[in-house]
Amino acid sequence: MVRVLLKNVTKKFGNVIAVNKLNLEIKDGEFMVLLGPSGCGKSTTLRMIAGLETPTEGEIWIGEQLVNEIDPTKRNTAMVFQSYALYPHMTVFGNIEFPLKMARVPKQERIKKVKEVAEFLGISELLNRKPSELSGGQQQRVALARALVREPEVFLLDEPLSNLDAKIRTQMRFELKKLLSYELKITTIYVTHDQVEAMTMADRIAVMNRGVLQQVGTPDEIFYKPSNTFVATFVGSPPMNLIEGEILKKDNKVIFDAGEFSLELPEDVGIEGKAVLGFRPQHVQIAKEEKAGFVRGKILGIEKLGVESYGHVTYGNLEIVIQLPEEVGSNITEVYWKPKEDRIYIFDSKTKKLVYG
Amino acid sequence: MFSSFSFYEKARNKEIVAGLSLISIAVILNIVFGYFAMMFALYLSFFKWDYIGEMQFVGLKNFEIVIRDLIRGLHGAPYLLSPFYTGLKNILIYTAIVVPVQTFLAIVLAAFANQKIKGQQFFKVSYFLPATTSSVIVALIFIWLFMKNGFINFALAHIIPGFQPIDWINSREYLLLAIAIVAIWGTSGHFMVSFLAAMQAIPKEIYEAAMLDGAGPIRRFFFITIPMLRPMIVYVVVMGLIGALQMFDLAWVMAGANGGPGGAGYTVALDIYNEAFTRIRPGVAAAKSWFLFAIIFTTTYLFQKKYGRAMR
Amino acid sequence: MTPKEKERLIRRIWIVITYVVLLTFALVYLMPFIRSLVASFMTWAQASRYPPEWIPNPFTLENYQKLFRLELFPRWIRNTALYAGLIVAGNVMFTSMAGYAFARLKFPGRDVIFSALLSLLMIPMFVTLVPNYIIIYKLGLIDNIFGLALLGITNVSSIFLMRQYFMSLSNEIFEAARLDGCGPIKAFFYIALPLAKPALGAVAVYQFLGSWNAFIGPLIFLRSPENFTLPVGLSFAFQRAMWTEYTPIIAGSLVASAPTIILFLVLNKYLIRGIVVTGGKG
Repeated sequence: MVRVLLKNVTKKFGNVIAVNKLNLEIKDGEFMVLLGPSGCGKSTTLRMIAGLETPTEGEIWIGEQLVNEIDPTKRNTAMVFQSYALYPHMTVFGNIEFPLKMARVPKQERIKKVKEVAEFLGISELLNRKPSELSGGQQQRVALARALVREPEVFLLDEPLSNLDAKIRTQMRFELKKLLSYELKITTIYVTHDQVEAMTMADRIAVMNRGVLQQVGTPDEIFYKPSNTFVATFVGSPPMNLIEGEILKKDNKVIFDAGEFSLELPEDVGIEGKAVLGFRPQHVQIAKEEKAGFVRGKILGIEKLGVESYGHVTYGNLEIVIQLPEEVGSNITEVYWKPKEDRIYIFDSKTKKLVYG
Repeated sequence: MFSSFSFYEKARNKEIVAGLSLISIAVILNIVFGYFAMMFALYLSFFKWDYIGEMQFVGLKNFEIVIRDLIRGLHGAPYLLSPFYTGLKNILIYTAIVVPVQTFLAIVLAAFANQKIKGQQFFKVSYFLPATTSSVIVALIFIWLFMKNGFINFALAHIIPGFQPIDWINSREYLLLAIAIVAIWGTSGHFMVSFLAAMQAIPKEIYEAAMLDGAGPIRRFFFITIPMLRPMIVYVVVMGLIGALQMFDLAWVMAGANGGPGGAGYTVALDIYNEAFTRIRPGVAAAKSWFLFAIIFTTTYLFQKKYGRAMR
Repeated sequence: MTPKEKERLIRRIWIVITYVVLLTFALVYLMPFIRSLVASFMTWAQASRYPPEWIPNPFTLENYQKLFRLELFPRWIRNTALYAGLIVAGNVMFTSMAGYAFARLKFPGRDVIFSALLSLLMIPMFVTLVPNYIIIYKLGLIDNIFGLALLGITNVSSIFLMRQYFMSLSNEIFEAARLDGCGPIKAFFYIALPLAKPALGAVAVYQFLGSWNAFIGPLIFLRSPENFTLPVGLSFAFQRAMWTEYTPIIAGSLVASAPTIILFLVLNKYLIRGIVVTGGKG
């Protein structure tokens, strides 16, 4: 088991900077998720660790070894691809055996190892089949087996669940986590654009956008302490409400003036002037009648997601999403709302960084 | 780090070496038989040579021979004095018959077959069959069918009232037409299958939308099918032009190397062959081949310029 | 008649017209083959009778016997098979290598070299014919099937087809192979080649059809009758009037075209689709 360390890693494709001065440490046995929208540089980062791409600058350490100059096959890493990249012309056995064959492992040992891994992943009955005869979940397991058979110290996964249908995905999420973190306790780097995957699987999440690392932290830290508006809106569903406005001090009270309405903020908010107020749809108090400190809003539409329902409230161009309590029917047209005081975030209006919350 | 070559450089060098060695044979052979041969053909066209003796530089004399031939032909010189002119005239007439007829026939047959009908594969197979057979074999069979007491005269006599049997192969007037018919028979079915595939690739939604707009089958054919087929039509015409202008095999068998009665079946390609291997004037043959190249290039270029590029 | 009935009637008539047209032309395309097949079992006296007769009477194998009594004919079959075999083997080997390199490997000049090869498709064969004759002559390979095959074993269309195929394969497979320890050459043999079976099959079939039917190349580069291929040999037999009757020529034509026709009939589904995609034998 080893750690992975990225020091100032930069990757340029021509003039495009895919990854910009990335510093990141993945600890021994840690399950690290690289999270971000497509094109944010997360896959490129993974591919650099695997050795499929050369970093333009910076250092990549695996264990105590600087691997920039090391052949991908000698990095003790294994990678699972989004499409699984199984060799369609080989049987499952042939697929799992292939990396050993390329490493010139003797035949007897190869057979033994393949059988062990297949046994471990519960795919022993599939060894003589071709990949095209397997279900998505089975293919996934074969891809894992092919990666595991090399006994890697670092496991790299690139969107491994996005080709599965929703039901199996939830199940595989749990299985993968169990396998990698609890049974093998292996250092894992997992790339995804799906925040639910990230939140449920990761020990820590690294959120990336446009090649720049936005925040690293546990799922709770990412959710409750987003370091900027990007992280705040990318993680959480529906996304956090962000309202631009101005913070004023009046008669010992802190007031947030959004133009269309104003809100009273907790007294310990020490900032004044332009700012961005953020709160999650789930962290809102609701009243049916007018109430002091509550803002009146017209409900434009209600999204029902089973137990939860979200109302869309608009003020000019501004649209705010708030969770409605279960007992509020679906035919209300008006609501009074107020963000929970201990659950508000304030971001700098220019840098978009968290300044309060 | 540890050695002067990093792993990436090593991998890259390995890839370069592998790439260059994998392409080497294909590239060398194509350079020799393609590019070198082309330059050699250019060089050759300025020399008089008999394959054995010294090559003798003659400047533009070989091209002059071709142009004089054309001028003589325009003034009505007989075929033996103006072989290139005769071949050129024949091949242009032949192309003007073959390319439009085979393209038109292929589109019409494809349109008929592009319906919900039984046995579509049978039609495709039977139409395509001629294209899988050597043109020489086809020509040999057709010589027999074209004989004066042959099957084609018999069939025509039943279709056209008052038809008198023609001695196609031995007739100055009909030889070229007979060759053209064989060519159309040989290639139209193949192009029909191409058109049919292109028609079947047109999204159904477009037809349905047109149907809702009130377009009947005829208008749908002219306003949707034909415009959507344009790249394929251009492709078929360009391929047809390239094939027809270089026609050799059919003429060789049906008319003979000398073009049959009065040179009625003589072609530019036959003339190049004769210059190179009968009259032993490789320089003149090279000059004539450049003329042929120019003719093919300009016709296909002009056609594609006017009607858009052929599909790949 | 209601409009609906009228419409139905028009549809009926149209379908009938469709079948009449399609069947007529099917007959036009098939008739020469059918006529030849029937006539190859007739005496020349019967085959040349007017109006044409359809049932061989007497039924005779004389035409085929005459064919094989000519010592050259089996040689022509052998030569054609050898030539086609060389062309198919050469193309399968060399163009898959080149296509793979052009599609999946990075090396300096790759795209320039590839476009240079593609531009050769524009050059009519008559331009390079005489120079190539001289090159082969200087190599001492005139009248030699191997010399003739040298010209066609790395066909540019085959390279193009193989390259397109290799480009269509997923990148991830090759990356997985790279991580599993495959260099560019190993990846070719272990991954690319086994996956390219459909494309290799297509190249093999097109090249077989092309070389089996080839005429002008064999005509020029082969000089002595015992080295001829079937198309050259048969046209030679016809022009030298080796038989006083025409029926052996017909029988010979059928024998010569049987392999391609059978191949086509067996593979018609794949071939028609493939030939449409790659633009045909032209």
